Amino acid sequence: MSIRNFLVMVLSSILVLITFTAAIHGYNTSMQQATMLADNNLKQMASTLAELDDIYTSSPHKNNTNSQLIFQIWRNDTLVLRSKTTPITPISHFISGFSENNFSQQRWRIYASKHHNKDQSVLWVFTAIPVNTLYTMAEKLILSAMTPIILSIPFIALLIWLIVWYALQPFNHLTKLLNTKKANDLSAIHLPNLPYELILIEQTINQLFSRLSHAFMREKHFASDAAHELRTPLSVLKLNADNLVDEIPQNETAAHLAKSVDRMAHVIDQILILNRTTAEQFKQQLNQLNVRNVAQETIAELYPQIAHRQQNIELIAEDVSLLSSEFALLTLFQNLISNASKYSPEKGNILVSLSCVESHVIISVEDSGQGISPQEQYKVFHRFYRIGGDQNPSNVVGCGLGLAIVKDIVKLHHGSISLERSKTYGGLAVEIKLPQVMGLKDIHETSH
Amino acid sequence: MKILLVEDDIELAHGLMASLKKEGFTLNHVQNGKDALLTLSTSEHDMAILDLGLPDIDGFTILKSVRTQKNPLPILILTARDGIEQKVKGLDLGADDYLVKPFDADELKARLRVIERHLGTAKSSLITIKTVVLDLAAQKVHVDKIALVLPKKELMVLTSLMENAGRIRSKDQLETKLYEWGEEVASNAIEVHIHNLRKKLPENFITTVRGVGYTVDSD
Repeated sequence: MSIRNFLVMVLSSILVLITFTAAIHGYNTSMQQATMLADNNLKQMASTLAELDDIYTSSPHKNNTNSQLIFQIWRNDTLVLRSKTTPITPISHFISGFSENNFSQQRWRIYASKHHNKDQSVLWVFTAIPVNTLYTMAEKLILSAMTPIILSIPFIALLIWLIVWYALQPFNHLTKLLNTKKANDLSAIHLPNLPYELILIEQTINQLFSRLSHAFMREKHFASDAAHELRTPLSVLKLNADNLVDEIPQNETAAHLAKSVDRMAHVIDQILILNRTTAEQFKQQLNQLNVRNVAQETIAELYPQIAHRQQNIELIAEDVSLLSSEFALLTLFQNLISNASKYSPEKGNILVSLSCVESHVIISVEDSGQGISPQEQYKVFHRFYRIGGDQNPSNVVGCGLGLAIVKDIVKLHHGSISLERSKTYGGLAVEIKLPQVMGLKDIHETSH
Repeated sequence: MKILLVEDDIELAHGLMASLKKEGFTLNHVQNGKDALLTLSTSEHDMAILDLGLPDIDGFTILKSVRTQKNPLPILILTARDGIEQKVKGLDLGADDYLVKPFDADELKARLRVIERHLGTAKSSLITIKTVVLDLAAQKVHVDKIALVLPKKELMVLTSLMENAGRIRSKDQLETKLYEWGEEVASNAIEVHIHNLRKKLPENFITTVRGVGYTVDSD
């Protein structure tokens, strides 16, 4: 729920609640006022009637007033005077003071007063007014006071909505700015005329951005620094090991040394690749690529190794394009094809095929090696996992990162990977399905 | 061939000099960019091996300065920087080749030999693979010591393949090679040339890597 809707709803509800509470309270007060007024009238009329008693001494009086006030005058238990509509029975008990009673199909408020005449007779004067009249009076009062307020509620609610909308505008601007910011854009944001609270948020966000961008830079620099720092000494080691093998060709120790150096170089290479195929870097390098060209380039690059093992490699490719990073796609092909060559026997076969099905690029690499048993299939994607551990029967250089890297790259594309038995050559068939164009949404997700 | 080695790591330079000496290359070694620029402007070298991460001047700056002086000296970049952008930048700036550390000594030697053949300074301009001998200087081919007469375009295709023996030449690369020499290239020209060459050369001398290109195995 948005803050704006919440505020508008809560404030409008409170407004309605307060208005009605005020109305109820006002109604009660008006009722009391009306009753007080009526009581005074009843008292005054009673005392006036008592004074008149000397003039009207007998027979019911037929007064013609249309007033809602009625009265009865009793002398020594005899009704001596009453208003026209008044019943002839006593309308109240003979107890002084105010009371309420029902007669003539109405409820009445009655005032009874006792008077002693000069001739020692006891005079009771009852004056009454319908309770209904009081309610009508109170309602009239309260309605005239409350109607304008109730009618103005929708306008006030609209005003609240406008004010809340205006007050929250900076929030909206900020949200919009953050929404449209590209995932790889870590530059500071700046909005003019921000309220105090948002200035703090803006500062915090900018601090976070700057820390994040520093962290990325550090990570990136670390990777390239490590590459340089490790690669040069490794080159020296490799060069000297190769020289040693040349100088003492039959020496097994020298051969082992040269092979270990190769292995180390491979591991370091793969670790660096693993650190370079992050979502952040991937997105910065996105480009429309011709997949066939990348595959051709990779095969050409790996061909000496393939030819050395007298293997046969074929590429069956359609002309397909893919939104990807050249580095990631090259690495993907390198790992797959180099694996296929390593784990196929000498004079073995490798088939790389590329096709496009329903805007997905299908990359398949098949070989004539041993394949991977179904029990091992899910493990080979784990980092540093090798079938059979260090006793891997293939006797080839490897560190167990190849397929983990491939899986990472497939994930960056929101694609899928499956391992099967090759129908053509009987070995392993790796099939990869990559969406040709990732939706913008996907690209956003990749970054989070 | 006289090579200038620009490399700040002394150990690596020594290893390289030991390795390349055996192949008959002569190496002069400088350790920083300043010395490299000085040496390049004063003394005669046939080519240079250049490290990018030098302590004083960036390797790319040296490369740029050499090329702005219209110095055609072949330069092979040997670096720990492995990014594709770096490689593209290096080649765009006029480097002849780009090799990433840690490298294979044999690979380096093979690439140096390609440069040497291009320069025509090789002690011998002969490339011998199996029974086929290609004389680059005389533009002649012998198979089993019998001279083979080849049309110009076929010779160019064969030269490109034999110079890069062990590596794949794509159809595009071969076409580009013919274009460079000012030849008209029809759409299936390469296939036709390869077909003709195969008829004249020993069996399986040229291998087709289906979907990628052609290659001549180096051994």
